[in-house]
Amino acid sequence: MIKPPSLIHEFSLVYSEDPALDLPSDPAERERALKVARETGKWPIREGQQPTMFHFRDLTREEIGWWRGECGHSTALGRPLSDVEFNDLLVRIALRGIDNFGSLKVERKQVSKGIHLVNRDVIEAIYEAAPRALGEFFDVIFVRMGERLRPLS
Amino acid sequence: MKATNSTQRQTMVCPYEAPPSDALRAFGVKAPAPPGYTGPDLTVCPGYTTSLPETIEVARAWGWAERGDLRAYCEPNDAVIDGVDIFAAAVAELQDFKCPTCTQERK
Repeated sequence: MIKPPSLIHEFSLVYSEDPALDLPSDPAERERALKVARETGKWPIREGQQPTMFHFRDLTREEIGWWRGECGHSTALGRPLSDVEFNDLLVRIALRGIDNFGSLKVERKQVSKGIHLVNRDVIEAIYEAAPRALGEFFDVIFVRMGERLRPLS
Repeated sequence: MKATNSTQRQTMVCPYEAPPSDALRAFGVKAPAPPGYTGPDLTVCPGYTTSLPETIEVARAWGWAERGDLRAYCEPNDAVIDGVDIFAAAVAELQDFKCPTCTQERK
């Protein structure tokens, strides 16, 4: 089920290269259609097809603080995170579930007080299936983190 | 939206439509605003913005906040509280626009 954009609840994203999406071929038109889909939650899906839906939730203030701290000095690695690592970490905090993605189960484990992360193998599986999807999701989550009230501002 | 065709929606800066051609722009392209509106230029049709799920969510949150029971609707985060503040200001502005004398009487 597609969950519409929300400030409170989970919302769904579909990867732009998902074959179930019916998007214009012109790059500018394609970007416009994707922007509208992300804002409205009305994804242009080909008839009879089922996209893979990734469900996210906006980060809490506590999660943003923890993520920024980890970027500067990772508790596990004892050094600052690289670009790829902090991208993945943000997706691991925000991701809540996936529909239509094989038998992979999304589980979240607590790593710190108030902080839960999706299993690392989920991120690896997304990367295997669609290497650019993680970067795309990161961009959306990151923008929402900074501009949560776009529709009203 | 069903009452307008694609070209009409393009002239109203509808995000669902492709940007208008230069020829169409020559006839004037502007997001519709009510008569007497003096605020900043609208960047998209307000019909689009006001029907976005997050706008509707904030409108509902405002309704609960007005009744003093926002927590019955959601666990309010910073974004919801900011949204309710912005929405409340917009409602007051609209009330003033619809009935300026009512606002003066209240003062």
